[in-house]
Amino acid sequence: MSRTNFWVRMFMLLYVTVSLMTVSLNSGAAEPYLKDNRVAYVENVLQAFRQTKLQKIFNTFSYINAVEKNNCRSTLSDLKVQCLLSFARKNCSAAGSARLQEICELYSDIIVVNKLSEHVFISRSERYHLTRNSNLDFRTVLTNRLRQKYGKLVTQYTLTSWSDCKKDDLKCVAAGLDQFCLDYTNSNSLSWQYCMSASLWFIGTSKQD
Amino acid sequence: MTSRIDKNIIGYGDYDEEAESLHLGANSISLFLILCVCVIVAFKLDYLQWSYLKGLNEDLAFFIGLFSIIFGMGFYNYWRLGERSSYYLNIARTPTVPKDTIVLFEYKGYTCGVGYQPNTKTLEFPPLVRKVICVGILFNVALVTLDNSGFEKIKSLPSAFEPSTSEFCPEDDDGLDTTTIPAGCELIIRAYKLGYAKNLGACEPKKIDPEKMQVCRKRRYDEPYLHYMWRLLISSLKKQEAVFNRENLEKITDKFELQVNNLETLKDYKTYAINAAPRASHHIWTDLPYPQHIIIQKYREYLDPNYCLEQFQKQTNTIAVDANDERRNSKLLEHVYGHLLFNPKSKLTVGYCKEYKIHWNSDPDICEKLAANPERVLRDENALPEVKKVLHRHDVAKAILTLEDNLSEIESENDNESAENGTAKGSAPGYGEQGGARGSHRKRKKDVKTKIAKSKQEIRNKNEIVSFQCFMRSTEPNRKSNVSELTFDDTKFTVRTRYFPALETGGESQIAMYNGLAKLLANSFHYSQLTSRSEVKIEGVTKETPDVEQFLEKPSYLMARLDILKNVDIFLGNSWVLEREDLLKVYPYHVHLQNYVNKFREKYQERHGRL
Repeated sequence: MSRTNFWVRMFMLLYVTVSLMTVSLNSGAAEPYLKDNRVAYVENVLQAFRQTKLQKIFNTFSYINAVEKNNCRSTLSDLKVQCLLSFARKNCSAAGSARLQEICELYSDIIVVNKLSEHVFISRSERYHLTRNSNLDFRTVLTNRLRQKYGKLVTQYTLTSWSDCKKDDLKCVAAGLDQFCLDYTNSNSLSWQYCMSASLWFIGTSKQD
Repeated sequence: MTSRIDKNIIGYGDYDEEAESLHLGANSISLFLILCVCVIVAFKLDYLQWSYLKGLNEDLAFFIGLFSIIFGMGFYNYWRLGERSSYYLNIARTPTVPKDTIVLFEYKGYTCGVGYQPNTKTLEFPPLVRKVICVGILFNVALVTLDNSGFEKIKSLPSAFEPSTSEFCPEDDDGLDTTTIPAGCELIIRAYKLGYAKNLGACEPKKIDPEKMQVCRKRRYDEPYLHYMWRLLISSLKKQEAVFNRENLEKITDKFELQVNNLETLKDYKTYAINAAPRASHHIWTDLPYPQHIIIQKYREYLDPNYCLEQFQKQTNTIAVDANDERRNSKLLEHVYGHLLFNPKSKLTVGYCKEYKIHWNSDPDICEKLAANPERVLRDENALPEVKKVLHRHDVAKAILTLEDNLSEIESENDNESAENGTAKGSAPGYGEQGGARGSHRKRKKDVKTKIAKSKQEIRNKNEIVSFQCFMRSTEPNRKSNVSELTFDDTKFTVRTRYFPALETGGESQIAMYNGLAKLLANSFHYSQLTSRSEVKIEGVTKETPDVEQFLEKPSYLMARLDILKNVDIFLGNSWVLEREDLLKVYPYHVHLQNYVNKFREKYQERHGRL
């Protein structure tokens, strides 16, 4: 009798635990943009940049650039986003193990967003002046200018109190960046994801490889 | 016991033990106080900052030092500050105060007063300290009054008085060259001369037409001053002769008389311009409480009237209000009102915040009272003087335009007469000075007409520059707006009362506030898919795209997926976004907010604005 009770209790406990876990996982999936989820995602992106060689990241960057120019040219922004995501996913599926695929998707996300935000950081007239006043090829000039702008954003972040984190405390950096970008988007005309991707790209690709 | 303590406090010197009093010399006190004031002023204005002092150029630093020593010593000697003071500040126990002392105040048994006795022994700073204080005072004065750029201007002052070479006619007039060689063409011209080039092309020297050259009427280098003065006098008289002929005198008299008849209008026009009087007066009454504590609100209203300029300059896109805050709706209203009318991020400017007023804590039926008795309600609300001033300014502006019209008519009448006379005399049209004068007259007349026509268009009606509206809370959902009319200063004004439901916190309340207030301020404003910035959904093309809500729930590519929100305009409804707290945090408000505000302002400025 007591043995049966024990198993019944164990079963009930297991059931309740699994149910609770499912509920919590579902709520995370249903609301992926809650603060904790955002911070965890940004932390994963920072980790992904650390774990990947720069050359690999830049290869993906070139691939997304090419795809955007050729396969995903569209005036409808929704279609463009979906197209870029499908190509990025396809590219990452060849990365190898599931973990590597996950890492690839994290930094590809940043590259895709930066691609989509190019026109926000560099206006049409500025783009024209850049091509007129430089001897280098357009893509290099544009990349350099974007890097300067991303750098300016990260400098602004480092001047805030949210950047007071230890070097290896990625969770703290992620939380700080999240707060900075929320404030920045509220007071300026820049979307949260654009601010975040620009900062993450600058921080992620500034490492010594 | 007390006197021993007092002695310890007062220290050494001229302490009168018998009288238990202290005489502080007026010279020393005055010097010390002047120095303190100078130091405080210089410090407050950042002139005593080390970085500023380091930035002074050496000439100025030397000058300040020299100035302060020379004038400091002059100050010391001129005012005989080295001598013992005749006046003194007397601090003494109350019973022992001398009779001739003017008492300033008493405190805890001590009296402070001012006395005069030339031979009294007073407590003074040593002479050296007084000299140093004098130098210090003048040092601060020099530091505050002179900076690097000012000193440079003083240094360059003598050269400014020297006659400039441009005021003289060029000396080299005998060898007048009628050709000019374009820059960088010397080598080509030489090659042409040597026969290496067949033609000069773009380097062909351009000939100067001597007829087009004007006679230089400036002073010649060797011309005596008196001769030059005589020439200027004669040319001035000739010009005056041309101006003060009979026709022109009549014209000037007519114009003067017209202006004298409208002197009051002209005076008001100038006074309003100089005083920066309001050009509009728009009022919104609401039964909501003040958004801040009443003391802060009144302080801003009376002591910091420019606060609104700063407040709406730095507005954030959204506002976070506490659900338990009883002023949350007021804060929301103020935020929305700032965005709709004054936020500079929008490309259109429709109003000046100092000419708008929200009357908080008003009675719910204030607009009905206003319609019934406008003058009384406006007086009670302290809005009457401003409204009257704006309406009067409108009348003045109209009168000024009529005056300008009349003045230009006088001008054109006389010009027509002179032009007719000119034609009668038989001068060939379009040739010579008279033809030129007629041409310029026609142009001037056209310019004047254009200017006046444009100004008349710009003057708005009275009911466009003054408006009255009410924005009241309502417990009934979808309560209809009230519209009434009032007549004030011979003008009909529409008074609209719009009701809004009590709002909870969250994104939905902000959107409801935007829609409610926008509709109140511009009744014809309508925001739809066509005016939105989000892309139009096309049947057949967008059918296959997955549902946006589901698309945003996937756990991968979190950031790229957010881009799709650019096409989800929450001002159009889309309540599913408003219900998602997580999405509202990262929602690109600025994209749709700016568009919404631009569309609103386009509509608003059709009916409302400034003089």
